[in-house]
Amino acid sequence: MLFNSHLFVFGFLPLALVGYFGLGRISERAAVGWLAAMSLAFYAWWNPAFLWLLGASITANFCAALLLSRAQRGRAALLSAAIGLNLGLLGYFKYANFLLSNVSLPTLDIVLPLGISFFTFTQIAFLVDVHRRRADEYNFLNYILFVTYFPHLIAGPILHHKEMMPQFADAANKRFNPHLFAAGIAVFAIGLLKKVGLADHVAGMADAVFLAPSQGLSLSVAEAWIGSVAYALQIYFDFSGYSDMAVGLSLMFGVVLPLNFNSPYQSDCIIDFWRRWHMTLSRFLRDYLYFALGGNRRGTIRRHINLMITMVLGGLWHGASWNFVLWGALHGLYLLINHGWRQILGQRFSHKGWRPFFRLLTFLAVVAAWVPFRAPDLQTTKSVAAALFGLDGVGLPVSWSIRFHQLAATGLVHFDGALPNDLFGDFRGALRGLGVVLLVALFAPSTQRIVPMPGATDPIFRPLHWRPSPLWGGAVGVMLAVGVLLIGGESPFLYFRF
Amino acid sequence: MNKPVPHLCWVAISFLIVMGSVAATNFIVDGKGAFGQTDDGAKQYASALLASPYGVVWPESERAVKLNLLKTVESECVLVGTSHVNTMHKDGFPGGGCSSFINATVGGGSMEDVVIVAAALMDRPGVSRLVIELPVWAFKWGLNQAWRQFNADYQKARSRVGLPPAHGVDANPATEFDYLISFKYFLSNLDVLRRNRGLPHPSTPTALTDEHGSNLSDADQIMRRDGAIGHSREYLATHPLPLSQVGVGDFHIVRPFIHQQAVRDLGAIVSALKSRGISVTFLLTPYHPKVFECRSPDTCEALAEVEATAYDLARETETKIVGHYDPRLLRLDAHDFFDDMHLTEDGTRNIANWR
Repeated sequence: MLFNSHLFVFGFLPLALVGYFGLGRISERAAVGWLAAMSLAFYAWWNPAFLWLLGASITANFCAALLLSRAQRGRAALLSAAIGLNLGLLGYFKYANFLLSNVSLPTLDIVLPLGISFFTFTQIAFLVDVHRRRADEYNFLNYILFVTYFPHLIAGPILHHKEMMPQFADAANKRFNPHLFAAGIAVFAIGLLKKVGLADHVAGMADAVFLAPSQGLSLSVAEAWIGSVAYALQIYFDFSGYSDMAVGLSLMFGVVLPLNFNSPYQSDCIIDFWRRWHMTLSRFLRDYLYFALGGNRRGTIRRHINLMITMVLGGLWHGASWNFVLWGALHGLYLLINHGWRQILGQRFSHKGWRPFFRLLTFLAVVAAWVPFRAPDLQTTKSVAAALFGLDGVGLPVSWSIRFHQLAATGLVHFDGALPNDLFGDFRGALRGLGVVLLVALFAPSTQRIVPMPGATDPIFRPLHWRPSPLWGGAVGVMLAVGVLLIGGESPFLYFRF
Repeated sequence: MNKPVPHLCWVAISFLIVMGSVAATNFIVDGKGAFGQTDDGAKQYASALLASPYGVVWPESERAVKLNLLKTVESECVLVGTSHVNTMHKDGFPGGGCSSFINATVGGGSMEDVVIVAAALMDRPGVSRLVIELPVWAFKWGLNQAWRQFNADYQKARSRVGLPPAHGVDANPATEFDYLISFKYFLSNLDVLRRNRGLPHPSTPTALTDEHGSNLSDADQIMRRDGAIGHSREYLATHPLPLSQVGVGDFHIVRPFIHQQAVRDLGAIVSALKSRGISVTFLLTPYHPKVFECRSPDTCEALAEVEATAYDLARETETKIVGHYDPRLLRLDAHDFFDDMHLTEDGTRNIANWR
């Protein structure tokens, strides 16, 4: 079931809310049980056949955590076995065919269970913290809800038990809180508009460009950049829209989820970008992988190696393909360059005047890295990347050939049109739409700067500061209505496949 | 006054006002007949069409009108297909000799259209001959979603011609509720209101006072009494296109060019029609000679592959087939085409003589 579906908005959500707060008046456990049951139903709606897998994973990890918390000896071995089991499960469903195809063996008929990366990593983090004596949980029902809680189950944010368990155990959260509910609706409406109004709007342009090489079309520089920027915007508004919806939905239930995005395309450098993009994954990779590898405690070279390993594995977390490895490696390289730059030049370019330049440079670097992430294979990656950097020559409008005919002799330019493949239909209209979406990404305040939320650090954006006022009530109602009206055919979130 | 409960009331009120306005507009105007509201409009249109000797202004909902014509007007010969043959009258019908004829072609016509028309004909006793025009995208499901507006008709039609329900993209058809609160449908209904000068349904369409519709504005296309299109003076002033503006014929050319399931399904539809005593002919209409310069190599490849498949299917189902995509095989030249894939009225008149 999708958040951006009529069934969810008009059926599932009201039922879940009424049941939760209704039962919350009678019994706290009944309310938690109801929410857990609804979360399992939410998951089963996609494919009930994988409910057993989710159930087995939860039960096995809960038992492993209990054993870990009580054991005095052999705890490291127990932890290794439990993590091995989780990674084995993930490895089978997500990476087995990747490995088999790389050694030229026949692949298996495996369907990737929805959200497996998210619920596996959430539980691995929990096990590690139990081992470190930083966590324990003896209430199975709360634990089921922690893992399956439907706002985050399919595509995050990746939760940390210590920020969730106290909330699930808090009796006050089972009573309707109109302030949190109102804030939740506002955040949900913003997220829905990001998804159906912005992400879905530019998706067609990205799809057309990344499909073109497989159809034997040779892309021009302009086409490659338009497609790549369109994808950069699509994935940002798709995923941040989803995350806003998840945070908003959770607020309606009185539960605060961690923030996942903070205007990442407004970053001044790649280091800053990774503090703003998919923040809960960055936190997980830092706490449980980068630090586990030694972090920056063993010298500069080892730190760079650790950083690279973390980013490559982070890429591989998204999917079993060399494209994701390449994406992770590119970002690893960007980070190394960024750290090196800081070390060599220090504060030399820290003046505010440089900020637009660095912001643009960061954005372009991120856009270029999205190419392998979006391309279905390495061949397409190569074609789009070659066009992006003009390796096949720069296509210019035919009408320019008279004035600039000398350029043709260089071999770097050809006059067969800037957009020779007619990929975008009404090109001017499409480009206008892309421009508007780009301006929103580059300059609009983040959701948490509009609707105050726990955990947000940036100051509120005063001109659009949400308050539970009649004026904002009218505006949120209209936004929500427009979002619901824009829901068209089925449009799954991009991160569902990770 | 920043209190959350009144705020939530305002959220609900504004949400309901917007949703209610959109839903009411969609339900009342119902430009594509999602709630069956257009049926009356289509009936009214068809009546006006039949009463007019030269035809009337082209309808917005051509599928609804043509479905109505098929269900209500006696005809011996019927043509189903695409805009490639939307100018054909009974004198162009392959084999000729029709006492009555309906041109049931629609813009971008696809497999779904064939299913709807075939099912409608199976309940009509007078129909004895059907020509199915096969465009290059003929052997594909789901290319044109226009029939989803008649979802109930479409699902019944599939069953009528012996196909399983909910095939391919129609597994999750838009429901009436989806249409009720669709912003896209709302915009199209606003457009209908604009065209109808504020009325939810079209007033009686303007009838032509002569063959060329001198009483119409230049931009209006014409529907003739047999369902064929009549081009406006404005269109004819700019067509046929000069050779330099003729396209490469790549409309709906996407790999794979053929879905084998669609080929099998078309074979099943033909068998169902024959079992009801309706004789079927396949028709391939040619593309402009310039298309065969193969500036779009995919187009040339698709044309060859689909034509071979069409002839194979005709042989397997013992169905008559006429025409080719290559105009040189039919002795046609650039003068017979409006653009890269549409024949002039003179061009379609010759179809009856094709082999």
